Amino acid sequence: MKTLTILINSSPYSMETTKTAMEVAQTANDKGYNVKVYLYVDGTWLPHIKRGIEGPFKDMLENALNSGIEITSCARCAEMREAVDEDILDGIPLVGLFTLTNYIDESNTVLTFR
Amino acid sequence: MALLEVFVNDPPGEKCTQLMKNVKKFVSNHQEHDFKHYKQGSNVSKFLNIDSAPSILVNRKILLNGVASYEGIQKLIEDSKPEEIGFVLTRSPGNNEYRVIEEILASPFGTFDSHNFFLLNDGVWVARTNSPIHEYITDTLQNVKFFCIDEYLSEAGIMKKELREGTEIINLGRFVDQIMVCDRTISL
Repeated sequence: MKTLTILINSSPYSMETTKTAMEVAQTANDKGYNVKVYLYVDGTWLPHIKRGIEGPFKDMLENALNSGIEITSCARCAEMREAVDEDILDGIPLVGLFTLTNYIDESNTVLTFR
Repeated sequence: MALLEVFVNDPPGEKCTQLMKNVKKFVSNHQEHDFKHYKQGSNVSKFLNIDSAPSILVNRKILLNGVASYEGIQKLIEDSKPEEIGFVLTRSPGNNEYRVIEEILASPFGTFDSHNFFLLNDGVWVARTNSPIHEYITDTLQNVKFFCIDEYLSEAGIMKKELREGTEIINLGRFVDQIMVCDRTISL
């Protein structure tokens, strides 16, 4: 099975690319690809329960997790935005950059959305 | 289909004969490939800078000096298959990202056998009739295709008749399938 990694660098409401990135992830998963999403820099706002998750992104993230998409978020970026584990939606661990390098290593294609 | 060009000495020595034998056997089992042979020192070999024989040139991309085995020929064909790059553009043409595109296209990194531009979000403006970046890309590169994702086209309020000729409108599912088969991708 081919693997697609999506790197999201933009915050949920600054650019529509965040929504597009999640749509691409879901579409790829529905088509049978193995999909991994890494939230980086402002992308770490996306699963923030108090500041990012409200609105359409909550459903998007929950659907993605339920359908087997692996989503992780950069711990350092989240920390710089004063987000701790409790602020982040369940199922999305805060991880290091090594996870991203592993994703890239395992992937056939990497797409970045800024 | 691959183009196999073999260069041999005249008269052919043992190695040249062996290479010809291997290639003929390969082509007889794989008739979809095109096979040509030339004498070393012929106009074609001079044009292609082939300076030793026996040699085999595949798709005018990979040159092997010496005798290629049957399996070796198969490997050369696989290694010389055309490479495809996919650019994923999400910003409108006025953005600074397009200066990066110009730099990439001006470098060897930007030259592939096939160049696909996938236009998402405001990237769809690139395919509109009056877009100078479209002209720049098509003037700079060979084998260029533009793909607009239907939903973003609607969101931008651009009609099909406003698009440059040859622009293909696809859905998100086809975008995913196409991007997964590209050898390289660049998202801007």
